Amino acid sequence: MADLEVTPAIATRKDETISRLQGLVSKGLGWARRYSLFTYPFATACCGMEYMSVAASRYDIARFGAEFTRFSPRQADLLMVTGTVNLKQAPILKRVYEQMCEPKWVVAFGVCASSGGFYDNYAVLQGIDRIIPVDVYIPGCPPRPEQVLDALLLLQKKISGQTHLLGDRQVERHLGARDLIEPAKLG
Amino acid sequence: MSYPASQNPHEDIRESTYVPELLKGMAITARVFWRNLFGERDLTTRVVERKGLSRVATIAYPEEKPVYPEGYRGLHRLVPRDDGRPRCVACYMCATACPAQCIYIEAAEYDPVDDLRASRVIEKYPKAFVIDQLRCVVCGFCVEACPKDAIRMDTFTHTPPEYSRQSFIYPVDKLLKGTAAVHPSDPWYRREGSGEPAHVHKEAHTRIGPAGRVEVDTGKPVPVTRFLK
Repeated sequence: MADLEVTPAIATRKDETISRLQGLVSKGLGWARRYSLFTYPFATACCGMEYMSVAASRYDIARFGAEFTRFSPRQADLLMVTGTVNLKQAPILKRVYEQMCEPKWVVAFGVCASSGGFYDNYAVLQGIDRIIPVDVYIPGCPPRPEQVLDALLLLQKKISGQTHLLGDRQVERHLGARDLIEPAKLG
Repeated sequence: MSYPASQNPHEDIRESTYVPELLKGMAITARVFWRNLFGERDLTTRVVERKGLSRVATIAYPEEKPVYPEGYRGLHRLVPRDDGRPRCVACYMCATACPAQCIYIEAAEYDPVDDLRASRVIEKYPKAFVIDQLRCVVCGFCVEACPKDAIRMDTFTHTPPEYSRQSFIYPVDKLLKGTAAVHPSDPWYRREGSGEPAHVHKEAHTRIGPAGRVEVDTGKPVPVTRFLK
């Protein structure tokens, strides 16, 4: 991750070659990953209809390589949280996220998933970023398909800027809620 | 080349040999493929009424942007007056009507000695007017509630997605845009002779004197019942 950016004080020719090779691999993997996003739609509410509209022929999400909807989180690498997530469903969402293999990305689809929307009450999770890290937020109630495609383009831009490694499946993400409290530090 | 087909391979020689039907299906597929590949697309009309050879319904979104319908409620804008300031008078009607409570307004008073024409007939303006676009459910109640036509959703653009929640906080400088709205009922147009009003910033019968008590200007006709001397 970070050691790709930091140039060592004395770089041998071997180190240089390895880092250049790693850069090439990272670029290639990023290219492959951003154009083949397998989506897991965690559809709980009316935003799911809009997701169907994005996937249908008029706004064809297949043009961006994200058409292959997987209904198993183990086969997906893009989690689209589509709709209101209440507190009873929050552990399920967390479990679904943890079942996904690295690398994985999360899109909060619509205001309910992003911030709770106008359900500012005791039953609704006020934004899924309280339990899982979110890469792109889509506003709108529900968002237009254009907004979803804009978000997908943003996500592809973000993926291409990330560092991808062959051996280590960990992908550099922004500091999400999950990274703030590490179990090792607590114990 | 329509023909009656019985759908029964035992009776129909054409069905039972299989090959003509296969070729026919391939021909249909190939014809649609070449039509859509090289045909001209008629983008102006609706999809079902298109006359072009290509009948591709998919919109190449980032390059082709479909026109939003007439009543589309897009991104909010604060409507400016013709001098560039917001028309908003910070009455909190939109913030009260908002079901998502995504509007935050902080009111401030115009300076009484300000020689702007509008400042003598309007008392307040929004010092801060913030909309959290990630809370907004695009219902348009704020537009209906506004008594001054100061907030509209007629930008015909959607709110762009962002990487962080903080980017969805829209302050006045992001909201104040678009063409200015002018109404004949605007107070700064309605009062024609308000260039040099006798009262400054207050109604005539409720002017508060330096000692803190109410003074009444007896020299001029007072529109409300005189209840204080």
